Formats: sequence, C-alpha cells, structure tokens
Amino acid sequence: MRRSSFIALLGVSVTLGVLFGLDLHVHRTSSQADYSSYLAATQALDEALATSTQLEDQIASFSKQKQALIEASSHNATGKTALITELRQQSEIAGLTALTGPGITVTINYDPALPVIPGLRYVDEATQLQMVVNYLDAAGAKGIAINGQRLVTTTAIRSILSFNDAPGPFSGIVEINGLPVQAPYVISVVGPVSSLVNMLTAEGLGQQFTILDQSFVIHQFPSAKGVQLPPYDGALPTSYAKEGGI
Amino acid sequence: MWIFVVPAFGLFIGLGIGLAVNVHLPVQYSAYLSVAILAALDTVFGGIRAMLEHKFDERVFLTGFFSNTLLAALLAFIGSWLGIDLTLAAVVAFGVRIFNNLASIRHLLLFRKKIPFHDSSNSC
Repeated sequence: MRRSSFIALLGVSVTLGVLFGLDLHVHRTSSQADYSSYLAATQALDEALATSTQLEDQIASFSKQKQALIEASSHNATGKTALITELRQQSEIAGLTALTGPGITVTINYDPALPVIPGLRYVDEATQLQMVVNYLDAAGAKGIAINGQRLVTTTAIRSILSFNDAPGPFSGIVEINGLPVQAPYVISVVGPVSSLVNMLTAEGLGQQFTILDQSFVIHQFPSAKGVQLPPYDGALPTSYAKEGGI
Repeated sequence: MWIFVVPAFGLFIGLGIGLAVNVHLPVQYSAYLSVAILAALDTVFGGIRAMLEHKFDERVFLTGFFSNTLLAALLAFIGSWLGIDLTLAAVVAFGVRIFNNLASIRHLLLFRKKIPFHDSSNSC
C-alpha cells in the first residue's frame, strides 16, 4: 500500500468515524421520537393532535360519569332525595302509610226508631257504601277508611249475602279488602271538612239512608289531628321487578 | 490485511473524536447526517474494493467521498424542503451500491478475481 493511499484511507475512515460519533451524539441527546423527514414529523404531529382530542373527549366523558356516580352515592344526593320524596308521596296517595288530618266521620247504622218502609228489606249494602265513598272522593277526600279498613285504588267493596242476626235492611256482611265488615259502618275521611259535609248534604244522602231505616250521622273534626286513618296492610295485587342477587 | 485494519483503526479514532467533541447537532439535521454517513460508507467500501483490484486512486477516492457525502445530505435537505422524502432515494441507491461492493469484496477475497457481471472501474 502506498503512503498516499494509506493516508487517504485513514483520513476518510476518521471522517466517517467522526460522522458516526456526531450521529450518536444527536440520538443520545434528542428525545426518543425521531422522524426522518418533515413530512413524517407533520404526520406524526397530526396523529398526536387527533389522539389528544379523542383523549380529551374521553376524559370529559369519564368526568361526567364520575360526577354522576358521586352524586348517586352520597347520602344527601339530590336525585336520591327527590326519589325518596316521590316514594313517600306515592305511598301516601296509594294509602300505604297512616294518614292524619282534619276530616269527618260518617256513621251508618240501623235505627229502629225510623219508620219501616215495606219493600226495602234487601238493599245492597256494598252499593250504598260505594256510593258514599264516590261522593267523598269527588269532594276531595285524601283518604278513606271504613271500620278501620283503608280504601286504596284496588279496594273492592262487596256484599256477602249471608244473613246474620243484625236487624233491619242491612242484615248482610260487607267485605272490604277481602275482610268482613259489619254494621255499624263508620266511614272515616281525611280531607276538606266543609267540602265533604257540603257534598253529603247537597246530595241528600242522609234522607236516602233514612228511607232505608239507617241513621246517617256526620261528625266534623277540623283539627290537624282530627281523624287518623290506618295504613293499608293488605296484599298488593301487583309487584315490581327487583334486582336479582348474584 | 492492512486494507481492513487501517479503516477500522481510523473508524475508532473518528468515533472517539465525534463522541468527545462538544458539538450538538439539532435533531432535525439527524436525517441529513444519516444519509451522509451512508454515502461515506459506500465510498469506503468502494475504496476497499478498488484496493483489492489494484485500481485504487486517491483522487477518485477522496473526491468521491466528499462529493457523495455532501450530495446525499443536500439531496435529503432538498427533499425535505420540497416536501418529498428523497432520503429514501438516497438510501436505496447507496444501499444497492454497498451490497454490490460487499459482494465484489467477498468474491475477491475468496477467489482473487472480479465478479464478471460488474464493472468496478468507477466504483469509488
């Protein structure tokens, strides 16, 4: 090997080594991401921006879910309080809770002092009671009970045609909520006292029952705790689906 | 023997200098430097092959080294400037040349003769 060739080859090799060293320097001191061209870097930047937008949307969605879960899990949560209030109101409306308030009582009973009218021995008691209940409902009654049996929307008032020892036209037995109820019938009503009384008076129910040898006595209890109605404790005809155990 | 020892020795010396020197090239120039290194490698292998064929010429070798290196880096820069990835063109061209030179070197070392289908008169 000639001396000039030796020097040329050595010089080029050293230069190449320097280039290698500088390149290693760049890779060692730069970030991990390396792009071979401006186009690749631009494409990578666009992808990163798109990914960033998607991630921001996901973060916002997860934040909403987290907030909803926190609200649902807290004891004084707005949604939970509203649901409990609605449940309480529905229970009161449905007659599943005891009810106390101003109201009236109507007592219907056989009165031997009243004149007997022939031909009216057998009167459907359930129909008569249902008629009174309908008028009371129309007058704005909030709750009604007959002889301690709370009337709910599914309550049936039925006559059982089995005669007993009770004298007078009302000699059968009425079944309310599937339980037998006998005279005297005390209808307890919570609601606007004046409206209830006016309705019963205007319809002349007292005279109708008098014809049937029945006394029809109305007592008014305008105080806040005037009338107390028991809750309905019978079976409900419907049941709701509940979450099954795992 | 010296044909391989001298380039290897020079490569290590240069690598040490390159790592020791406190010069930090910006990252965006890394691609140009890589293409330049590829061109330089092609020149070095071409020089080794020319030596084995007893056709080595210092002027062709040195001019080929610097012109190829600078031209490759310039090509990559222009490609980036125009929005075309010309780096790939340089990589393919020099890659093919490097493998051809390596094949010739291998044949020369094994059989002491040139590859018949390749003209090595202007390999640097």
